[in-house]
Amino acid sequence: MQASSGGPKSMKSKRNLWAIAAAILLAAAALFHHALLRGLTRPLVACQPSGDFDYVGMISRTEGPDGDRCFDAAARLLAEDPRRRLLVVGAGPVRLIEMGVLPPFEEVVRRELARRGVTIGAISVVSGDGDRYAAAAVALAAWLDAHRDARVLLLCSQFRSAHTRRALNAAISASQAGRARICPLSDRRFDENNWWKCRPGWREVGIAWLIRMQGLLGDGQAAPPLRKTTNQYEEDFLRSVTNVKERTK
Amino acid sequence: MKRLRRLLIRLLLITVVLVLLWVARVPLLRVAGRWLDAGSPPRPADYVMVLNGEENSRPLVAAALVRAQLAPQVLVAEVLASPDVIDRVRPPSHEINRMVLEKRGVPANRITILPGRAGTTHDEALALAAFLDNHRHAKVLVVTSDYHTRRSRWAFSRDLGDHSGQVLFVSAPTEECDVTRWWLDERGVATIASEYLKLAFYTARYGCALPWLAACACLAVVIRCARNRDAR
Repeated sequence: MQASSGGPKSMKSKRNLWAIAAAILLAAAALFHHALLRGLTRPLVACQPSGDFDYVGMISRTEGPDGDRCFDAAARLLAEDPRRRLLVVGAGPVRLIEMGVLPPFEEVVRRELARRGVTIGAISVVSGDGDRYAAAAVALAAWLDAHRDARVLLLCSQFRSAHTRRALNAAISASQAGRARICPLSDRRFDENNWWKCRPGWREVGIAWLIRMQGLLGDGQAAPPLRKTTNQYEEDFLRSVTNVKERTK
Repeated sequence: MKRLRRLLIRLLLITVVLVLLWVARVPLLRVAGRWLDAGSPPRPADYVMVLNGEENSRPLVAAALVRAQLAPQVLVAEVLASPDVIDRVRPPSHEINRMVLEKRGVPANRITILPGRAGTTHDEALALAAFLDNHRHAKVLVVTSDYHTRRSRWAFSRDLGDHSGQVLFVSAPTEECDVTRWWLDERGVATIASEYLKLAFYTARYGCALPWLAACACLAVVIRCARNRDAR
C-alpha cells in the first residue's frame, strides 16, 4: 500500500511546516516589533523643514489648535525672524465662541504668544473649515492665490501631516506647492518611537490611518453638514423628540 | 484536478461575496452609520448626565431637556486634563460643559460635577455608578452624541450593574458629519470608523472573554472539520 499525497503523514509534515513558519514569523515580529511599529507611522508623516517662509500657519479646529505645543513652536519660529507673520486657517468652535464660552482663536493666539514673550501685529485669518484638512487646504490655496509672494510653514500634528500634505497637493497647483510647507509637531505623550505604549497614541495613529484610507471609500469632497445656530439646534432637537413621542403614543 | 476545482469554487465564492459587498456598499455603510445610534426618546427623570466631548452639541441637548422640565438637575463628570488644559490654552471639557449649561439657562446650583478625573467613557460610567450608589432610586438621562450612544450604553450597562435600569440614553444629533454619507468625508471616517474601532476595543478590553473564546473554539472546530473532509 502506498501513502497518497494527501495522507496523514504528509498532512502532519505540512502542519509542522506551517507551525515552524508561524513560529519564525512570531519570533521575527517580537524581535523587530519596535522597527515594525515605527515603520507603521512612516506613511503618516510628512516633514518639510524650511527656513524660507514669511508666514507661520496654524489650523484652528473645533477641539483646539492642530498639533501639540503649537504655540511653543509658533513663538520660536516668530522669534527667529521678527518679519514673519501669523496665519490662522479655520474658525474653531464657532458656537462656543458665539456664546462667549471660549474666546476667538486670534485672542487665544495673542495671549499664548504674549505668555511666551512674543508680541505680534495683525493676524491673517483664512476662514474655512479647520476640522477638514481638504477644506482647510482649499481655503489656504485661495489665500495663496491672493497673496502671490507669500510662503507659509503650516504647523500640524505629526501623524496627520502626510494627509495635510496630500490635501495641499490636491488643492494647490504643482508649481505653487512649494509655497506651503509642512512642519509636523509630535505629541508630548507619544511619537513614532513609542506611540503603542499609551492609549492616546493608539487612538491618534488609528484615526490618522483611517483618514489616510478614506480616499478608498470616497473622494473627501462631501459637503459638511450645515451648522445650525444654538437656538435652531435646540429647537430642532426638541421638535424631533416631540415627533417621536407623538408617533409612539 | 478535484483539488483545483475545489480551490476555484472557493475563489469564485470569495469573489462573489466581495463584489456583492462592493455593490451594496452604500446602503451597508449607511446602515453602519445609523446602527451606532442607540438612543431613546427622553422620559422624565431626576438627572441629566452630559458625557464630555463635543461641547458644541451635547450640553445644548441637556439644557433643552432641563428647560423642557424632563429633568431638574445636571451631572457632568470631571475629566482628566488633556495637554491643552495643562498648558491652560483651553478649560477642561467639564468646565466648558458647565459654562454652556449656564449660558443656556441652567442655574449653577443645579449642576453637579462628579469627581473622578475621567479619561474615557468607561471612567464616566464608573463616576455615575459611584453617584448612583448614594442615590439608589434616581433616574438619569445620559446625553451623548448619536454615534457614541451604542458604545456608551454598552459600557454603562456593564459598569452600572444593578443600576443599569436607572439610565436612559438620549442622542445629541452630531454636526461633525452626515451619518448617511459619512464615508465620503474625512471627518465622517474619523468619527464613525474610529467609533467602530473603539467599540471593538471596548468589547475586547472590558467585555467578557467567554464569548470570544467560544467563538474561537467554534471556528477552530469548523476549520478542523473542513480540513478532515478535504483530506477524505
